[in-house]
Amino acid sequence: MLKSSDQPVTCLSEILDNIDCTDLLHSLDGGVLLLDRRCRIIFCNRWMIKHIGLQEDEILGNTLAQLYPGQLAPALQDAIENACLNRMGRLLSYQLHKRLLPLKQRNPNGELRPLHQSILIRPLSQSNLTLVQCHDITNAVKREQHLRANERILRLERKVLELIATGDNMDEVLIEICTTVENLIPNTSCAVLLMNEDGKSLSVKSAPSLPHHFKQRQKGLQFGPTGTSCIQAIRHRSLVISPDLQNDEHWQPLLDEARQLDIGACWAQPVIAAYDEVLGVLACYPKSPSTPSEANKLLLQRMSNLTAISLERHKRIERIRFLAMHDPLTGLPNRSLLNELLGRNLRRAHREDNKFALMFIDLDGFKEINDCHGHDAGDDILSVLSGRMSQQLRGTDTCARIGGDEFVVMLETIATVETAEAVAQKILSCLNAPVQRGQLQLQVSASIGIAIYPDHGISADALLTHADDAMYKAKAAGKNCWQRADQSSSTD
Amino acid sequence: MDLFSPDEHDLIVELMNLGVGRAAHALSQLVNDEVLLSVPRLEFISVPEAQEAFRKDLPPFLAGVLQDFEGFINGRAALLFPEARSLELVNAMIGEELSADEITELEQETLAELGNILLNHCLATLANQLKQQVQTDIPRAFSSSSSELPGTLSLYEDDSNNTLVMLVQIDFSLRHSALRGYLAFVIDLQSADSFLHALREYLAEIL
Repeated sequence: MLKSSDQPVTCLSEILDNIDCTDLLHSLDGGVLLLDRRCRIIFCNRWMIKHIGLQEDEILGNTLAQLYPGQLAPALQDAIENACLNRMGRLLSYQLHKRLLPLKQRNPNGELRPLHQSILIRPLSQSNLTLVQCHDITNAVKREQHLRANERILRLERKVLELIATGDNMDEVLIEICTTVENLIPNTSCAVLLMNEDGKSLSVKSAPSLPHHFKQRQKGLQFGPTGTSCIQAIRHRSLVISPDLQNDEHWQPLLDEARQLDIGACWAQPVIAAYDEVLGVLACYPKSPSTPSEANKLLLQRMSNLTAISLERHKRIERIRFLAMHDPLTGLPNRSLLNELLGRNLRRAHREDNKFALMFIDLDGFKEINDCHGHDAGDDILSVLSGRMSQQLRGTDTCARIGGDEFVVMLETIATVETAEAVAQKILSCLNAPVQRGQLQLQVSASIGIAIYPDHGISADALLTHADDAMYKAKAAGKNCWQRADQSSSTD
Repeated sequence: MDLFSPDEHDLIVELMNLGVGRAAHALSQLVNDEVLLSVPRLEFISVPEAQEAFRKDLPPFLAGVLQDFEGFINGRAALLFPEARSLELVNAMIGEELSADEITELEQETLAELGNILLNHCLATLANQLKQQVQTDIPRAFSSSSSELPGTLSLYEDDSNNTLVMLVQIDFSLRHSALRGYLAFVIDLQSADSFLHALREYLAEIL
């Protein structure tokens, strides 16, 4: 059939002979210019005419410098002259020259966007002419930006996961997350807001690029009937976008502040942990009104996941720390924490020349309650009595549970020995009051031994031993009383 | 190859240093940072020697930039790097810190322009100083294995009597990185005569 294919060479040359070279150049999807030795444009293809935006006769005969007075990149100007006059071929790449020709094109939405380009300048060897080719690399730039953005996110995710794996540095991780969002979504500020323990308000946890007063002001952002974007995000458990704060009714009371902070919009992504628990909000505040792109939304989602991992990890470590230092039944400090606090108080009392008191408390009759009413009853008694004892103390004092029914109370400073004795008396009374459990009334009493720093010792061991001995003296003296370490005393 | 006398060889080294220095100045301005370039070694070798040198001295995979030239000398020039480090150079130049495994098309173009600037300055300086003309084509970035390199550079055994290779070591020193590359100028020997002539005229003038 295709007999002509037997002689392709002849055919091709025949075809080429009949082709109008100008037509060919006009049909190319890319810019072509031909320049003479004085850099003047003697040909401009259709693509180039369209993107320059002038009539062909306005272009021909001019140099590019004349078409774009004061707008032509010096490197491009040099390269064109060097090619036209000195016959040196040149490539101008996008990465080294972000702005070459001020060409524009319309995107699918009809908006004019700058056209990213690279330019090849080739002196033609058979003539004095120079060929300028302009490649539209907008799509390649987009792909590259996408690749880089993804790589940055991946690198951050890896960094955060490493931070999480190696230690507890939540603040650092949250700053890193905010900074990444700000880097990848230009002209924004980012903050992490956490749900307060009351479950009804939010506090700013991290906002590296917002002024300090923002952290203060947002402390306790209440859940009103409407609420700002962040509170709505928590309520809806999904991204809430407020594209223009000026025209958002929920933001009207906060507009002055928004103006001060230079924020024009708010995109709030809830931070949701395992089992659907809402921990807080990752908030991105663009400087001017805008909505997030799909890529922005994906970034916020990924960053909020990392935030959740970091927060959960932090909570778990805090919990482990708490459990290691506290008695799980009563929530009181355990022996380890008591030793730490006692050591600290010893150093301080020594430095400041203070007195302080240590009381060893052992319940009387506790074993019988356990035996008659079971361990649950015993546990309840311990919980209730722990609460009562703590109420008798100042915030700076310590009540620790160091054994089954053994407690140690440390009064951080005392003016006189009598102060300690008065507290011991109050503790005796509160422990001796009956505990209602269903229909039952359970009652115990306590024996208390008091040791005073520095009167009875200046070391933790000496003080604890003296207090313990005094407690046994109280037991021997008939229980439900207190004894000082060096002298006998009864308060019955 | 003893085509050139010691004086002529020294002159070529001097002119290459001048060209490379101008390229360094241009690159520094372009990236707003100090770029230092130096030429620790320059030699003229034959095609078989070049093939041997490429096989022995160059890493197995190369990235580079090719550019043809014609005028008082004709031939093909290339800037060659270990492939693994070409991306490093591009990143150092554009101030990015990327770990992308593959060089993207934009980076390929950037590398081509870096080679373009370097080769143009070397060739233009040679020509201008010797009061000669040279014309260059546009650059092309490429990557190849060192065994394919002679083909890429149009170095053919059977043509070896007509071809001379000028192999130039070049050291890049940037703020955060340093690397060594090679410039290879594959010169058509018929045009080497006019090269020699120009060198002798230049030397006669200054001596």
